[in-house]
Amino acid sequence: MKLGVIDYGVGNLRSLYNALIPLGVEAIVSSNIDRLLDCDKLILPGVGAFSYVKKRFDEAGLDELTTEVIVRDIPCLGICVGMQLLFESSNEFETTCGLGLLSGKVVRLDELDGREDRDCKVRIPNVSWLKVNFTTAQLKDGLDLFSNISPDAKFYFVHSYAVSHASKDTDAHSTYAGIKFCASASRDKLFGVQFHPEKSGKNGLHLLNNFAKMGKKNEK
Amino acid sequence: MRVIARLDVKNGHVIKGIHLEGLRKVGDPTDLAQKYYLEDIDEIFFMDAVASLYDRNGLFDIISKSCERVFVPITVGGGIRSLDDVEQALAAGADKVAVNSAAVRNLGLISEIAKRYGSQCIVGSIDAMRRDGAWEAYIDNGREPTDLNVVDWVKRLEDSGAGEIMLTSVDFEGTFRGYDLDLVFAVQDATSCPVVISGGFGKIEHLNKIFGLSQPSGLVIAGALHYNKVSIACIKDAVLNNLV
Repeated sequence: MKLGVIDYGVGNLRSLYNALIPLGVEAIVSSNIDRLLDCDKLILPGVGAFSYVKKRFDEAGLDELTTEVIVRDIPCLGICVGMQLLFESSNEFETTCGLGLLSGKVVRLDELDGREDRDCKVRIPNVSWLKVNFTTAQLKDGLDLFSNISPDAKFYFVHSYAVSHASKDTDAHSTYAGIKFCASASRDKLFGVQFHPEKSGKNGLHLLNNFAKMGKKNEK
Repeated sequence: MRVIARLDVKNGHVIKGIHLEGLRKVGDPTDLAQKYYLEDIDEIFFMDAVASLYDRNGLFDIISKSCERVFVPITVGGGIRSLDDVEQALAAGADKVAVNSAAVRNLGLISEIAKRYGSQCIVGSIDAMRRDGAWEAYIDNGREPTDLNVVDWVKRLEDSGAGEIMLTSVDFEGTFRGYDLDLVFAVQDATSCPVVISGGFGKIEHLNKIFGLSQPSGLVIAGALHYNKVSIACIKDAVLNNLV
Protein backbone atom coordinates (compact mmCIF):
# COMPACT_ATOMS: atom_id res chain seq x y z
CA MET A 1 0.00 0.00 0.00
CA LYS A 2 1.49 3.29 -1.08
CA LEU A 3 -0.02 6.65 -0.21
CA GLY A 4 0.62 9.73 -2.30
CA VAL A 5 0.39 13.25 -0.91
CA ILE A 6 -0.34 15.68 -3.74
CA ASP A 7 2.14 18.57 -3.64
CA TYR A 8 1.02 21.65 -5.56
CA GLY A 9 2.64 24.24 -3.33
CA VAL A 10 -0.14 24.87 -0.82
CA GLY A 11 -0.25 23.54 2.68
CA ASN A 12 2.02 22.19 5.31
CA LEU A 13 2.96 18.91 3.68
CA ARG A 14 5.68 18.16 6.15
CA SER A 15 3.17 17.92 9.01
CA LEU A 16 1.03 15.58 6.97
CA TYR A 17 4.01 13.45 5.99
CA ASN A 18 5.23 13.35 9.61
CA ALA A 19 1.79 12.14 10.70
CA LEU A 20 1.85 9.24 8.21
CA ILE A 21 5.25 7.92 9.38
CA PRO A 22 4.13 6.57 12.80
CA LEU A 23 1.32 4.68 11.01
CA GLY A 24 3.90 2.59 9.18
CA VAL A 25 2.50 3.73 5.85
CA GLU A 26 4.71 4.03 2.80
CA ALA A 27 4.12 7.59 1.69
CA ILE A 28 5.45 9.90 -0.97
CA VAL A 29 4.98 13.64 -1.41
CA SER A 30 5.00 14.52 -5.09
CA SER A 31 3.75 16.82 -7.81
CA ASN A 32 4.50 14.28 -10.53
CA ILE A 33 1.27 12.88 -11.95
CA ASP A 34 2.76 9.52 -12.98
CA ARG A 35 4.30 8.99 -9.55
CA LEU A 36 1.01 9.93 -7.91
CA LEU A 37 -1.03 7.61 -10.14
CA ASP A 38 1.33 4.83 -9.15
CA CYS A 39 -0.01 5.16 -5.56
CA ASP A 40 -2.88 3.12 -4.15
CA LYS A 41 -4.44 6.11 -2.43
CA LEU A 42 -4.04 9.87 -2.56
CA ILE A 43 -4.37 12.75 -0.14
CA LEU A 44 -5.24 16.21 -1.41
CA PRO A 45 -4.16 18.81 1.18
CA GLY A 46 -4.73 22.55 0.95
CA VAL A 47 -4.28 25.63 3.11
CA GLY A 48 -5.11 29.22 2.26
CA ALA A 49 -7.68 30.98 0.12
CA PHE A 50 -9.79 28.78 -2.18
CA SER A 51 -9.21 30.83 -5.34
CA TYR A 52 -5.43 30.81 -4.81
CA VAL A 53 -5.41 27.08 -4.03
CA LYS A 54 -7.51 26.30 -7.14
CA LYS A 55 -5.19 28.42 -9.29
CA ARG A 56 -2.14 26.49 -8.08
CA PHE A 57 -4.04 23.23 -8.62
CA ASP A 58 -4.76 24.16 -12.25
CA GLU A 59 -1.23 25.45 -12.88
CA ALA A 60 0.17 22.14 -11.65
CA GLY A 61 -1.93 20.41 -14.34
CA LEU A 62 -3.81 18.42 -11.75
CA ASP A 63 -7.10 18.35 -13.70
CA GLU A 64 -5.55 15.50 -15.66
CA LEU A 65 -4.79 13.72 -12.39
CA THR A 66 -8.40 14.25 -11.28
CA THR A 67 -9.75 12.59 -14.41
CA GLU A 68 -7.47 9.59 -13.96
CA VAL A 69 -8.31 9.30 -10.25
CA ILE A 70 -11.99 9.06 -11.14
CA VAL A 71 -11.50 6.69 -14.08
CA ARG A 72 -9.21 4.38 -12.11
CA ASP A 73 -11.33 4.64 -8.96
CA ILE A 74 -8.37 5.60 -6.74
CA PRO A 75 -9.46 6.46 -3.18
CA CYS A 76 -8.71 10.11 -2.42
CA LEU A 77 -8.98 12.12 0.80
CA GLY A 78 -9.24 15.93 0.65
CA ILE A 79 -8.24 17.87 3.75
CA CYS A 80 -9.51 21.37 4.65
CA VAL A 81 -9.33 23.49 1.48
CA GLY A 82 -8.36 20.26 -0.31
CA MET A 83 -11.80 18.96 0.69
CA GLN A 84 -13.48 22.18 -0.37
CA LEU A 85 -11.91 21.84 -3.84
CA LEU A 86 -13.93 18.66 -4.37
CA PHE A 87 -17.17 20.66 -4.22
CA GLU A 88 -18.84 22.79 -6.92
CA SER A 89 -17.64 26.28 -6.12
CA SER A 90 -16.54 28.75 -3.46
CA ASN A 91 -17.29 32.44 -3.03
CA GLU A 92 -14.14 33.21 -1.01
CA PHE A 93 -12.95 36.62 -2.38
CA GLU A 94 -14.45 35.76 -5.81
CA THR A 95 -16.63 32.94 -7.06
CA THR A 96 -14.34 30.14 -8.17
CA CYS A 97 -15.34 26.79 -9.61
CA GLY A 98 -14.24 23.69 -7.73
CA LEU A 99 -13.83 20.21 -9.16
CA GLY A 100 -17.55 19.52 -8.84
CA LEU A 101 -17.06 15.95 -7.67
CA LEU A 102 -19.16 16.45 -4.54
CA SER A 103 -22.37 18.45 -4.47
CA GLY A 104 -22.48 21.68 -2.52
CA LYS A 105 -21.06 25.18 -2.47
CA VAL A 106 -18.42 26.60 -0.15
CA VAL A 107 -19.56 29.80 1.62
CA ARG A 108 -18.47 31.87 4.61
CA LEU A 109 -19.42 30.24 7.90
CA ASP A 110 -21.76 33.07 8.92
CA GLU A 111 -23.57 32.88 5.56
CA LEU A 112 -24.59 29.26 6.04
CA ASP A 113 -28.27 28.50 6.51
CA GLY A 114 -29.53 27.06 9.73
CA ARG A 115 -27.80 29.40 12.16
CA GLU A 116 -29.49 28.87 15.45
CA ASP A 117 -28.69 32.14 17.19
CA ARG A 118 -28.37 35.15 14.88
CA ASP A 119 -27.34 37.46 17.76
CA CYS A 120 -24.38 35.37 18.76
CA LYS A 121 -21.07 36.92 17.67
CA VAL A 122 -19.39 34.59 15.21
CA ARG A 123 -15.64 34.84 15.49
CA ILE A 124 -14.02 34.01 12.18
CA PRO A 125 -11.92 32.04 11.40
CA ASN A 126 -13.21 29.11 13.40
CA VAL A 127 -10.09 27.93 15.20
CA SER A 128 -11.22 25.16 17.52
CA TRP A 129 -11.44 21.51 18.42
CA LEU A 130 -14.94 20.21 17.69
CA LYS A 131 -16.86 16.99 17.82
CA VAL A 132 -17.86 15.45 14.51
CA ASN A 133 -21.40 14.11 14.65
CA PHE A 134 -21.51 10.70 13.09
CA THR A 135 -23.76 7.90 14.32
CA THR A 136 -23.12 4.26 15.17
CA ALA A 137 -25.63 3.42 12.43
CA GLN A 138 -23.38 5.21 9.93
CA LEU A 139 -20.37 3.29 11.24
CA LYS A 140 -22.23 0.01 10.71
CA ASP A 141 -23.23 1.23 7.29
CA GLY A 142 -19.61 1.58 6.26
CA LEU A 143 -18.43 5.03 7.39
CA ASP A 144 -15.01 3.44 7.71
CA LEU A 145 -13.11 6.72 8.00
CA PHE A 146 -14.39 6.99 11.59
CA SER A 147 -14.26 3.32 12.56
CA ASN A 148 -13.06 2.77 16.14
CA ILE A 149 -13.14 6.50 16.83
CA SER A 150 -15.26 7.65 19.78
CA PRO A 151 -18.24 9.91 18.96
CA ASP A 152 -16.81 12.21 21.68
CA ALA A 153 -13.53 12.61 19.84
CA LYS A 154 -12.64 16.17 18.85
CA PHE A 155 -10.76 17.31 15.79
CA TYR A 156 -8.85 20.50 15.02
CA PHE A 157 -10.58 22.94 12.66
CA VAL A 158 -9.20 26.16 11.25
CA HIS A 159 -11.32 27.69 8.49
CA SER A 160 -13.55 30.63 7.60
CA TYR A 161 -15.55 28.93 4.84
CA ALA A 162 -17.51 25.69 4.80
CA VAL A 163 -20.11 23.62 2.96
CA SER A 164 -23.68 23.35 4.23
CA HIS A 165 -24.38 20.35 6.44
CA ALA A 166 -27.41 19.79 4.17
CA SER A 167 -25.25 18.87 1.17
CA LYS A 168 -26.31 15.41 0.06
CA ASP A 169 -22.73 14.18 0.22
CA THR A 170 -22.31 15.20 3.89
CA ASP A 171 -21.56 12.24 6.15
CA ALA A 172 -21.15 14.16 9.39
CA HIS A 173 -21.51 17.74 10.55
CA SER A 174 -19.95 19.85 13.28
CA THR A 175 -21.35 22.92 15.02
CA TYR A 176 -19.50 26.19 15.60
CA ALA A 177 -21.15 29.18 17.30
CA GLY A 178 -24.53 27.59 16.62
CA ILE A 179 -23.74 27.06 12.94
CA LYS A 180 -23.95 23.55 11.53
CA PHE A 181 -21.57 22.78 8.69
CA CYS A 182 -20.24 19.80 6.76
CA ALA A 183 -17.28 18.28 8.60
CA SER A 184 -16.93 15.12 6.57
CA ALA A 185 -18.25 14.19 3.13
CA SER A 186 -17.87 11.39 0.63
CA ARG A 187 -19.07 9.97 -2.64
CA ASP A 188 -17.88 6.59 -3.89
CA LYS A 189 -14.14 6.57 -3.15
CA LEU A 190 -13.75 10.32 -2.71
CA PHE A 191 -13.58 11.58 0.87
CA GLY A 192 -13.17 14.99 2.41
CA VAL A 193 -12.72 16.29 5.93
CA GLN A 194 -12.89 19.97 6.86
CA PHE A 195 -10.65 19.48 9.90
CA HIS A 196 -6.94 18.67 9.98
CA PRO A 197 -6.44 15.02 10.97
CA GLU A 198 -2.65 15.51 10.91
CA LYS A 199 -3.07 18.11 13.67
CA SER A 200 -5.81 16.36 15.66
CA GLY A 201 -3.69 14.23 17.98
CA LYS A 202 -4.28 10.51 18.29
CA ASN A 203 -7.83 10.59 16.88
CA GLY A 204 -6.55 12.35 13.79
CA LEU A 205 -3.79 9.79 13.33
CA HIS A 206 -6.40 7.08 13.79
CA LEU A 207 -8.53 8.57 11.01
CA LEU A 208 -5.53 8.75 8.66
CA ASN A 209 -4.81 5.13 9.52
CA ASN A 210 -8.45 4.22 8.75
CA PHE A 211 -8.08 5.86 5.35
CA ALA A 212 -4.80 4.06 4.69
CA LYS A 213 -6.23 0.68 5.70
CA MET A 214 -9.66 1.19 4.12
CA GLY A 215 -10.79 -1.53 1.74
CA LYS A 216 -7.79 -3.64 2.59
CA LYS A 217 -9.89 -6.68 3.37
CA ASN A 218 -11.14 -6.67 -0.22
CA GLU A 219 -7.63 -6.58 -1.66
CA LYS A 220 -5.88 -9.70 -2.75
CA MET B 1 -11.86 26.70 24.30
CA ARG B 2 -8.38 25.50 23.39
CA VAL B 3 -5.72 24.88 26.01
CA ILE B 4 -2.39 26.09 24.65
CA ALA B 5 1.01 25.45 26.23
CA ARG B 6 3.42 28.36 25.88
CA LEU B 7 7.12 27.56 25.76
CA ASP B 8 9.38 30.62 25.95
CA VAL B 9 12.71 29.54 24.56
CA LYS B 10 16.12 31.11 25.15
CA ASN B 11 19.42 29.55 24.08
CA GLY B 12 17.78 26.15 23.56
CA HIS B 13 16.05 26.06 26.96
CA VAL B 14 12.49 26.71 28.01
CA ILE B 15 12.60 29.60 30.43
CA LYS B 16 10.08 31.35 32.64
CA GLY B 17 10.07 34.69 34.36
CA ILE B 18 7.80 37.27 35.88
CA HIS B 19 6.49 40.15 33.75
CA LEU B 20 8.62 38.58 30.97
CA GLU B 21 11.75 39.27 33.07
CA GLY B 22 13.96 37.46 35.60
CA LEU B 23 14.24 34.32 33.55
CA ARG B 24 14.73 30.83 34.96
CA LYS B 25 15.38 27.58 33.05
CA VAL B 26 12.56 25.03 33.30
CA GLY B 27 13.35 22.34 30.71
CA ASP B 28 14.13 21.17 27.20
CA PRO B 29 11.70 22.52 24.56
CA THR B 30 11.25 19.34 22.51
CA ASP B 31 10.85 17.18 25.64
CA LEU B 32 8.28 19.54 27.13
CA ALA B 33 6.37 19.84 23.83
CA GLN B 34 6.25 16.04 23.58
CA LYS B 35 5.19 15.70 27.24
CA TYR B 36 2.32 18.19 26.84
CA TYR B 37 1.25 16.52 23.58
CA LEU B 38 1.01 13.15 25.32
CA GLU B 39 -0.98 14.82 28.10
CA ASP B 40 -3.52 15.96 25.48
CA ILE B 41 -2.66 19.63 24.99
CA ASP B 42 -4.62 21.32 22.16
CA GLU B 43 -1.83 23.44 20.76
CA ILE B 44 1.80 24.41 21.37
CA PHE B 45 3.11 27.96 21.20
CA PHE B 46 6.87 28.37 20.89
CA MET B 47 8.14 31.84 21.67
CA ASP B 48 11.71 32.84 20.94
CA ALA B 49 12.20 35.00 24.00
CA VAL B 50 15.18 36.97 22.73
CA ALA B 51 14.94 36.87 18.93
CA SER B 52 13.46 40.30 18.60
CA LEU B 53 16.30 41.87 20.55
CA TYR B 54 19.28 40.13 19.05
CA ASP B 55 18.05 39.64 15.50
CA ARG B 56 18.13 35.92 15.13
CA ASN B 57 15.87 32.94 14.58
CA GLY B 58 17.04 30.04 16.72
CA LEU B 59 13.78 28.21 17.04
CA PHE B 60 13.33 26.48 13.71
CA ASP B 61 15.45 23.40 14.52
CA ILE B 62 13.49 22.87 17.72
CA ILE B 63 10.22 23.14 15.78
CA SER B 64 11.20 20.68 13.08
CA LYS B 65 12.34 18.16 15.68
CA SER B 66 9.11 18.62 17.67
CA CYS B 67 6.93 18.20 14.59
CA GLU B 68 8.03 14.63 14.17
CA ARG B 69 6.34 13.68 17.43
CA VAL B 70 3.76 16.36 18.14
CA PHE B 71 0.54 16.16 16.12
CA VAL B 72 -1.31 19.25 17.26
CA PRO B 73 -1.04 22.79 15.83
CA ILE B 74 2.20 24.62 16.46
CA THR B 75 2.52 28.40 16.52
CA VAL B 76 5.84 30.17 16.51
CA GLY B 77 6.55 33.71 17.60
CA GLY B 78 9.52 35.93 18.38
CA GLY B 79 11.69 37.47 15.73
CA ILE B 80 9.37 36.91 12.76
CA ARG B 81 10.21 39.94 10.63
CA SER B 82 9.72 39.02 6.98
CA LEU B 83 7.94 36.70 4.56
CA ASP B 84 11.19 34.72 4.45
CA ASP B 85 11.00 34.14 8.21
CA VAL B 86 7.40 32.94 7.79
CA GLU B 87 8.41 30.62 4.96
CA GLN B 88 11.16 29.12 7.14
CA ALA B 89 8.87 28.72 10.14
CA LEU B 90 6.22 26.93 8.06
CA ALA B 91 8.84 24.77 6.35
CA ALA B 92 10.08 23.74 9.80
CA GLY B 93 6.54 22.55 10.53
CA ALA B 94 4.82 25.48 12.23
CA ASP B 95 1.16 26.04 11.34
CA LYS B 96 0.96 29.69 12.34
CA VAL B 97 3.25 32.57 13.11
CA ALA B 98 2.70 35.18 15.81
CA VAL B 99 3.98 38.66 15.07
CA ASN B 100 4.28 41.56 17.51
CA SER B 101 7.30 43.89 17.19
CA ALA B 102 7.57 43.61 13.40
CA ALA B 103 3.86 44.44 13.02
CA VAL B 104 4.27 47.62 15.06
CA ARG B 105 7.23 48.64 12.91
CA ASN B 106 5.51 47.66 9.66
CA LEU B 107 1.81 46.77 9.80
CA GLY B 108 1.98 45.88 6.10
CA LEU B 109 3.78 42.66 7.04
CA ILE B 110 0.54 41.31 8.54
CA SER B 111 -1.39 41.81 5.29
CA GLU B 112 1.47 40.39 3.22
CA ILE B 113 1.49 37.22 5.33
CA ALA B 114 -2.33 36.98 5.21
CA LYS B 115 -2.37 37.40 1.43
CA ARG B 116 0.22 34.74 0.80
CA TYR B 117 -0.55 32.16 3.47
CA GLY B 118 -4.11 32.99 4.51
CA SER B 119 -5.41 34.74 7.64
CA GLN B 120 -5.49 31.45 9.54
CA CYS B 121 -1.69 31.52 9.42
CA ILE B 122 -1.13 34.89 11.06
CA VAL B 123 -1.59 35.57 14.77
CA GLY B 124 -1.40 39.19 15.87
CA SER B 125 0.43 39.10 19.17
CA ILE B 126 -0.04 41.91 21.68
CA ASP B 127 1.89 42.46 24.92
CA ALA B 128 -0.32 44.76 26.95
CA MET B 129 0.60 46.84 29.98
CA ARG B 130 -1.79 48.88 32.10
CA ARG B 131 -1.32 52.61 31.87
CA ASP B 132 -3.62 55.43 32.99
CA GLY B 133 -6.78 53.31 33.06
CA ALA B 134 -6.10 51.81 29.62
CA TRP B 135 -3.55 49.43 28.11
CA GLU B 136 -0.50 50.21 26.04
CA ALA B 137 1.04 47.76 23.55
CA TYR B 138 4.67 46.86 24.22
CA ILE B 139 7.23 45.34 21.86
CA ASP B 140 10.61 43.62 22.14
CA ASN B 141 9.26 41.12 24.66
CA GLY B 142 7.70 43.69 26.97
CA ARG B 143 10.61 46.12 27.03
CA GLU B 144 9.64 48.90 24.63
CA PRO B 145 6.46 51.01 24.87
CA THR B 146 4.77 51.97 21.59
CA ASP B 147 2.18 54.60 22.55
CA LEU B 148 -0.38 52.34 20.88
CA ASN B 149 -3.65 51.84 22.73
CA VAL B 150 -4.29 48.07 22.80
CA VAL B 151 -8.01 48.35 22.01
CA ASP B 152 -7.29 50.47 18.90
CA TRP B 153 -4.32 48.36 17.91
CA VAL B 154 -6.27 45.09 17.94
CA LYS B 155 -8.72 46.53 15.39
CA ARG B 156 -5.89 47.54 13.10
CA LEU B 157 -4.36 44.07 13.34
CA GLU B 158 -7.72 42.52 12.45
CA ASP B 159 -8.25 44.94 9.54
CA SER B 160 -4.80 44.05 8.22
CA GLY B 161 -5.72 40.38 8.04
CA ALA B 162 -4.69 38.78 11.34
CA GLY B 163 -6.79 35.63 11.80
CA GLU B 164 -6.27 35.36 15.51
CA ILE B 165 -5.11 37.54 18.41
CA MET B 166 -2.77 36.44 21.17
CA LEU B 167 -3.17 38.77 24.07
CA THR B 168 -0.55 38.75 26.82
CA SER B 169 -0.87 40.80 29.98
CA VAL B 170 2.67 41.81 30.91
CA ASP B 171 1.40 43.01 34.32
CA PHE B 172 -0.07 39.60 35.17
CA GLU B 173 2.46 37.41 33.34
CA GLY B 174 4.29 35.04 35.70
CA THR B 175 2.30 36.13 38.76
CA PHE B 176 -0.16 33.19 38.92
CA ARG B 177 -2.89 35.56 40.09
CA GLY B 178 -5.29 34.98 37.20
CA TYR B 179 -5.89 36.61 33.83
CA ASP B 180 -6.37 40.38 33.48
CA LEU B 181 -10.10 40.03 32.83
CA ASP B 182 -10.76 43.73 32.18
CA LEU B 183 -8.18 43.57 29.42
CA VAL B 184 -9.60 40.32 28.04
CA PHE B 185 -13.15 41.68 27.85
CA ALA B 186 -12.07 45.01 26.37
CA VAL B 187 -10.11 43.33 23.60
CA GLN B 188 -12.77 40.69 22.91
CA ASP B 189 -15.35 43.44 22.49
CA ALA B 190 -13.13 45.29 20.05
CA THR B 191 -12.49 42.42 17.65
CA SER B 192 -14.32 39.63 15.82
CA CYS B 193 -11.15 37.55 15.60
CA PRO B 194 -10.71 34.61 17.93
CA VAL B 195 -8.67 35.77 20.93
CA VAL B 196 -6.35 33.57 22.97
CA ILE B 197 -5.32 34.95 26.33
CA SER B 198 -1.97 34.68 28.06
CA GLY B 199 -0.45 35.75 31.35
CA GLY B 200 -1.43 35.01 34.92
CA PHE B 201 -3.10 31.60 34.94
CA GLY B 202 -2.32 29.86 38.25
CA LYS B 203 -5.27 27.70 39.25
CA ILE B 204 -8.60 26.33 38.01
CA GLU B 205 -10.59 28.93 39.98
CA HIS B 206 -9.13 31.57 37.69
CA LEU B 207 -11.33 30.21 34.92
CA ASN B 208 -14.65 30.78 36.70
CA LYS B 209 -15.04 34.36 35.57
CA ILE B 210 -14.24 33.70 31.94
CA PHE B 211 -16.90 31.03 31.45
CA GLY B 212 -19.30 33.74 30.33
CA LEU B 213 -21.02 34.35 27.03
CA SER B 214 -17.97 35.60 25.20
CA GLN B 215 -15.27 33.13 26.10
CA PRO B 216 -11.82 33.45 24.68
CA SER B 217 -10.91 31.03 21.93
CA GLY B 218 -7.99 29.72 23.92
CA LEU B 219 -6.12 29.77 27.20
CA VAL B 220 -2.38 30.16 26.91
CA ILE B 221 -0.63 28.61 29.90
CA ALA B 222 3.07 28.53 30.71
CA GLY B 223 4.30 28.58 34.32
CA ALA B 224 1.34 26.70 35.80
CA LEU B 225 2.18 23.77 33.49
CA HIS B 226 5.96 24.01 33.74
CA TYR B 227 5.83 24.04 37.56
CA ASN B 228 3.13 21.31 37.71
CA LYS B 229 0.69 23.57 39.51
CA VAL B 230 -2.24 22.24 37.45
CA SER B 231 -2.54 19.30 35.04
CA ILE B 232 -3.74 19.64 31.47
CA ALA B 233 -6.43 17.04 32.23
CA CYS B 234 -7.78 19.21 35.09
CA ILE B 235 -7.89 22.32 32.94
CA LYS B 236 -9.61 20.50 30.06
CA ASP B 237 -12.10 18.97 32.48
CA ALA B 238 -12.98 22.39 33.87
CA VAL B 239 -13.37 23.80 30.36
CA LEU B 240 -15.54 20.86 29.24
CA ASN B 241 -17.81 21.00 32.28
CA ASN B 242 -18.37 24.72 32.08
CA LEU B 243 -19.05 25.12 28.41
CA VAL B 244 -22.26 24.38 26.59
